[in-house]
Amino acid sequence: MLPQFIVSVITILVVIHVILLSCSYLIFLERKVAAWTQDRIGPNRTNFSFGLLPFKGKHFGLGQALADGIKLFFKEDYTPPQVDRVLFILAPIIVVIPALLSWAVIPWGGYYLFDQAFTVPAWLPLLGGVVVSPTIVNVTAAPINIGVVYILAIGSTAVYGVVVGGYASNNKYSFLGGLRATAQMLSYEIPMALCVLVVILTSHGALGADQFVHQQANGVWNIFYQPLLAIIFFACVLAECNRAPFDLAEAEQELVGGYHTEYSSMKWALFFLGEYIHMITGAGFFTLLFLGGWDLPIIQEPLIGGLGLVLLKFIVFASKILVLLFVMMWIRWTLPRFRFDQLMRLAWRALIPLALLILLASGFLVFKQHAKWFSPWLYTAVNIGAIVLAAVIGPFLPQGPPMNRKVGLAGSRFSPVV
Amino acid sequence: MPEIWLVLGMCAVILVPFLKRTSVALPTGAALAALFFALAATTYTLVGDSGGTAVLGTLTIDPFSQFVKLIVILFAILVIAQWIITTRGQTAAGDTPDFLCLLLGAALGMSLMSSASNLLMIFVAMESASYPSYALAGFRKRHRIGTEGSLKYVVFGSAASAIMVYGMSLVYGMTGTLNLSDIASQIAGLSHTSSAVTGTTPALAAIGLLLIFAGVAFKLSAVPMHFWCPDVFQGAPFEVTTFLSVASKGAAVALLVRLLFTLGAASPVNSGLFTGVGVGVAILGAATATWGNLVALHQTNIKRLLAYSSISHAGYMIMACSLIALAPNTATAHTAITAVLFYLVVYMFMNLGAFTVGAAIAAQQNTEDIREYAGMSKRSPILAALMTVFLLSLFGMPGLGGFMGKVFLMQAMSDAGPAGFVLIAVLLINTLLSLAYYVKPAYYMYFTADKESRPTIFPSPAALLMLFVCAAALFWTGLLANKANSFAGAHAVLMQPANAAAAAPTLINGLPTVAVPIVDRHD
Amino acid sequence: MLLLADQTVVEPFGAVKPLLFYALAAVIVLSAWGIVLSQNIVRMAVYLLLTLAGVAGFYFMLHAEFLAAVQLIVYAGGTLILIVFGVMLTSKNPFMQLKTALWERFVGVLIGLVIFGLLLFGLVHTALPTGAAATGESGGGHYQVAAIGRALLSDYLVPFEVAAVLLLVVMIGAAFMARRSAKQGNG
Repeated sequence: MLPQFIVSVITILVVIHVILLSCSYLIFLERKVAAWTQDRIGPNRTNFSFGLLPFKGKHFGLGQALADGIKLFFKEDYTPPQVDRVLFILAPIIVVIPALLSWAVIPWGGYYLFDQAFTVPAWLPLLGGVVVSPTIVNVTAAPINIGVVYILAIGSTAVYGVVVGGYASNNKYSFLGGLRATAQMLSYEIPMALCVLVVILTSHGALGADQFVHQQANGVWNIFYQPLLAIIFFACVLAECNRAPFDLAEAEQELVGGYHTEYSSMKWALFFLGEYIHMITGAGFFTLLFLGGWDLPIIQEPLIGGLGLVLLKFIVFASKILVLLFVMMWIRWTLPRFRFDQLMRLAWRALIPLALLILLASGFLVFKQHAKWFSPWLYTAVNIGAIVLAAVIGPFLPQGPPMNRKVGLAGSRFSPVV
Repeated sequence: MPEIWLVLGMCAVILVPFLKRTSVALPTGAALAALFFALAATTYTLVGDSGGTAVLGTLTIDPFSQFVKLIVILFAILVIAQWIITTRGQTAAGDTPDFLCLLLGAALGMSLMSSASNLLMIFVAMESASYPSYALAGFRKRHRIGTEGSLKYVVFGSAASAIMVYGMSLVYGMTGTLNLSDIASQIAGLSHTSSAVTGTTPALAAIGLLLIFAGVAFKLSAVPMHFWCPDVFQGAPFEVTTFLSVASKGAAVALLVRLLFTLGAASPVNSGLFTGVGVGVAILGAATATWGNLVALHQTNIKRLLAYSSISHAGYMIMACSLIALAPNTATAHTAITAVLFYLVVYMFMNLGAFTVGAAIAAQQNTEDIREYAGMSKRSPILAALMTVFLLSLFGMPGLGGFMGKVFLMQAMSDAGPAGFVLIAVLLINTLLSLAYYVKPAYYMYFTADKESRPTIFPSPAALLMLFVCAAALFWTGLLANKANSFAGAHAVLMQPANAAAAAPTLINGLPTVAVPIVDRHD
Repeated sequence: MLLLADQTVVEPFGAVKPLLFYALAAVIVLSAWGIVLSQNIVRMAVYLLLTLAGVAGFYFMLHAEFLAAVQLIVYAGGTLILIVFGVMLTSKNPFMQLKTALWERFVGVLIGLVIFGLLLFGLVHTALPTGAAATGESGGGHYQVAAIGRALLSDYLVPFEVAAVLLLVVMIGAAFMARRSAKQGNG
């Protein structure tokens, strides 16, 4: 188990640093995407001199990310009176920790082969002088066997930071933000778990994160088998991250700043860091389940290899995540925000029934998977069938309560005619 | 399996309003139909089977369990009848399916409790008997006392089930199995071996058992955990109170009997642990009966009075249950179980009658205070006479069923040696005590003049019919008791644990090597 | 399983395991004290979250990963958050304090001491198992999950189904309680 431990430690150190650093550049990317969507240029001037260092030129505005960070560090960290002080300080921590913990099981780089025995240098504490025999290890922080369930479990605790923050602020807007976040995350956890369940079911009961990648690398990516499921899952990921169009907890037009209204400086930054970490986790989870993890399409890459292969796989994984992050930002700056009842209706009246339907049909197919007529492409047929079914019978289903129903302009008090 | 019919009935009751939203008759009919089917299924197995079978390892179907189910389901039917008769038209049509569904759900849990023979099943059954009861107890939502009672019930119940689950986890940890008969043989083996080898008793297992019994004691409203009972009974509507007072306690008594019986079947004669359990249960029963009677002495609300009365009756039954553990031979255990079953049947009719009279009066005079019953013998002589019959039967008047119930209890106790005579003494003293409050309503009805010209109460013909049936049942069980008792005796047969004899598990470091209940770990 | 069936469990070193145990135990015990001593219900919930997470950590240490995940999903992610949600929706004053009278504390401490004494007595007088047989260390989590699934649908089918029915009944009861009723008769 020692080689796994060494690799785990190295993976943790590398991943934490790479991702936390890249988070600041994600904010930069977000601003660029926003600018692109709104037909602006975006930050393009700040260089790395920060007024002190002898750098010239504009560096494509890349200094902006660091400048933002420095600004947040040096702002006044103001704690308003009347807050619940313990919880107020605890909340940003509770946001970040579960988000970080989820990375533990994501198989960043496949497997690494210790092809020859070596001795740990003697100066290391605890391990010094131990001989490591050749073996294969996972390039993961914690290769536990129930990886995806673990991500779900950790993800389900993510809501606490938002709720506690909103509660501790002793501010009505924050409070409302916390309430909204709770209801939203509870509702969207259900279709998310259902999606994971379907994928587990159709992957022959695999639960370990590496097993999913394995199967998709040997066959077809799950997104082709389960297109609708992937869309549902992606919507749930957006909702779990509190990203637009699901960002009701921090809807600035209604709630000032939502749950983080009272926060400033680094505490506020931690909330945002948490959001970006959640995005990365969600994108990683999606990649894992639907996009084949570190698998490059078409090429049949070797499963086990040395450092070069691990790095390549890491880069492939990271690029897929990056693409997904770009899509998330694109969606955020394109789509308007849901109204709260629409949000609830989407979860309870669309996503959950659809996911249940697919679960049922996929379960039947799995039950019959040894039949002659079985082919995994039937899952795709099920997905398409679910879409068709929803489109056909949707209009005939009973409508919800009449509140907030769209009123026709003619006859309403806003009508210009009357 | 009557449970399947109950589940089907629940589904039907929920779905039927989609046909016609405002109908009361439809869901009621569906519920009654399901209950009758369940009753038929129970009677069928009652007649058809004589030994006992284990269903999927978690349920035991034997004559005893079927008899208790018969009582529970029959009582559910009677309660629905009582509900229709006394509060017809007062429940909103929209609430009817909920009421019936909860009632059926509670009946389901209670009938499962009577045949659960696995710790997990016991827990699930108790919860599914409890949760609908919580909701039923607060069925009058606008009623402050009802809401308060329901809340107390929930809080108490959750604490009790938490305690019970903790006890179960201890027992599971010590024995490595959830099956009751396996646990029994393990514990017997543990206490035997460890006392012989290391001189210690399996204290943790004993504590676990204690906590499990505490959970059952909550359902029985035995004394340290009885606080919920009067408040819930007072706050709930009459039909719910009636249902809880008999069915819930009957199921809990059945569970207690099964626990004690299964534990006793495997345990070596006069094992210290098991005798301790018996003495503990006996003390619990005596304390429950005495405390219930003492507090009942100064109650003026008919529901509270009957609540404390039900606590004391539960105490009598617990005392009889303790005989299963204390008894030197199985014949005494059989007599005790027979007596308990007989008592349960009689108690069902007594309580149903008393509560129905109370409900009829409350429906027309809008009072639950027994002092308001003044002059009832003039205003409504039939009701007064019937109420007196039921109360006297609850007390144990010779010629009525309640008397014979107590006689059979004492008969069983007298078989159990010196400990039994102590129990008989407690029972007799308590019976005398209880006379003081059982005659109180009768006193107000017959010997107090009505000074405020309270209204005359005309019970509906259906209510009268029901009351007469109850009274007739009491006279029948009182005068022809032996016939009823032999019927009960024929069904006081519990399935013997299959592996009672093989109580010698292999021990590794003081723990038996029993596989965790996982079927196949190498797939 | 696929490739690494024998290597999928990270085994911490001998010296690390006790350290981890005591650290988790400290978290559990301290936050449990926090629950008892705190007077604000949301703070209690946060402390309870820490306790639950610590217990989940124990499960992870015992290689019961699935149990740990279920503990987090059901208790931390479901039950507890609903409690907080309920409190936030219903309480009039956000920082409501739960005051307990002196005698209530006295009774509580008494009951706690009695139970503690009972358990202590039990622990002292019971030969606790040691070694691998006691901790029941089994293969990887994958097999556990399969075995749990099988047990639920074979030996424990009846409790499983009854639990499903129970949930339905509870939902109906809750819906009834929450529903706005027009006029309530019967007293």
